Amino acid sequence: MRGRSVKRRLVDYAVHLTTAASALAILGAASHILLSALVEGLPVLLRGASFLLNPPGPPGGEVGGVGPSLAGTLVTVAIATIASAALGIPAGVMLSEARGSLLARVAERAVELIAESPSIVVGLVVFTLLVVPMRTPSALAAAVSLSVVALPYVAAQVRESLAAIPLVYREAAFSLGLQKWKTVFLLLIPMNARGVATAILLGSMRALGETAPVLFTAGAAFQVFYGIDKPSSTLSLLIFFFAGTPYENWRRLAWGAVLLLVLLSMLLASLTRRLAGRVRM
Amino acid sequence: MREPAVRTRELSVWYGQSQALHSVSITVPRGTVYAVLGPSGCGKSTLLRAINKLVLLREGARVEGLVEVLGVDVYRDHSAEEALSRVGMVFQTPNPFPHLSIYDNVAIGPRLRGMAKGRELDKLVRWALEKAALWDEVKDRLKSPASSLSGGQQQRLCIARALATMPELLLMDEPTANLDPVNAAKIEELIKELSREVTIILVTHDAEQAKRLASTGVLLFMGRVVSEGPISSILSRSYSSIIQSLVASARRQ
Repeated sequence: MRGRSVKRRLVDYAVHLTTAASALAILGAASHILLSALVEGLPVLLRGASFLLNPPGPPGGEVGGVGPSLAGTLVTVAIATIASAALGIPAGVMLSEARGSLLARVAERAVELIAESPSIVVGLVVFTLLVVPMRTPSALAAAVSLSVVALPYVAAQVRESLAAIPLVYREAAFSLGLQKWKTVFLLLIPMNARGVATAILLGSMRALGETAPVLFTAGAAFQVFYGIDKPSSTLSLLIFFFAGTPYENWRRLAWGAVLLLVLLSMLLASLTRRLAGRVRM
Repeated sequence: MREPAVRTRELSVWYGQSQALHSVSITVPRGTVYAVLGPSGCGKSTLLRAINKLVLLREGARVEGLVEVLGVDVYRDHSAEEALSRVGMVFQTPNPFPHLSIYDNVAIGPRLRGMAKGRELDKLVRWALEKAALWDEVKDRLKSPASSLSGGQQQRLCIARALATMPELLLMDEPTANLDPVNAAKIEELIKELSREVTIILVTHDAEQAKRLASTGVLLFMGRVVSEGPISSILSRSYSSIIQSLVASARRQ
């Protein structure tokens, strides 16, 4: 009996140790990302307005700033957020409210297909559909590819937030004798407005962090933000191109951009968590 | 003669593989309180939800047979939506919309249906709250969240919400089941008052309540009609002895 009890305790300890070790490993990785970004990026970020507004310095010269890429990021993410919400909310509504119908099943598969596609494939498809006919990469093409990548997240979150509305409220809403679209868009969605807002923020987080879809579509205009129909750049692209160069000033600039991107992502994530935490349903 | 408020013929409802209603045929005359009686799980709520099609909100639900509401076949006619807009419903659990104020819970139906706005809407909300015997208790806090009301008040708010859309037919699914005796008595008084103006279908498992409120009704057992007609003839024996003999005969089969 005693032997079995010791064995059980040993197994118990081993499981505890393994779970604690994996938790620590994750914590270590997360801290390493944040600390590296802080140590390398903070001195650059603390340059303030010149970092946020100026273009990058010449190779091997001044550090400069990420102004045009930051503008490109804000514009592309804003357009991608609006576009993914405009398509993703109705798609999520259909996935939830028409579930079981042929159209909803096809749409569900399409959404899954996009979600499962490597994002670089999305970039390449938008390149052939938009960049080639326009004869130029642009902030608009980048925004379109980002919105496609963000779309499944928005649609899935909207579907979940509608599905989370308890049947008692759903029945009450449908018992008022309104047309179905009015019941869904004017009663059920406002009932879980925070869930839908969370969906939109999740989409913008996804758009902010992606690099692969904008590789072929945004262009590489790091010196000037020319406008939405002209070649552009984003923070993630700047990191991708500048971090691998032999120039010390460009590598430092890339670290500054890393920290800025991490901070923007954390801001969106904390907003999303606060909203999701307050979702009533 | 006007058509009945509700007429079903050979109505069957399935949830996936399990059949909840078996060829139910009932006729609900206008201007009455019609009771749907039966033990738990006999299909009372399903029958009510088949009438206003809420049953279709449930996963895997399937309906066969005829359901005529205010003269319209609601599963086949194009005018079903219009007919169902003249049907209100009150549920077993008070379920005011949690994101809306007391005022907006009542106003939302008429507002979204374009029935009234501005002062007209204010008047309609007041009328509905008065009808539901709630106005005096909430008139000074119409902007408060509906969740701030007690259970009994919430149920009367749900009645006001249903009345504000001016229904000709009111479906009530055990509206007093989750209330204490005092609040239950208030709701019963309200049902008596309302029955002068609207047809009411009242689902209940309380035979005494059915006797107090309804003139006609139907007794369901295991998804089938046992008897339909005047309440006095349905409940000619004591309710418990009827149920006991039904259960006994079901066991023998």
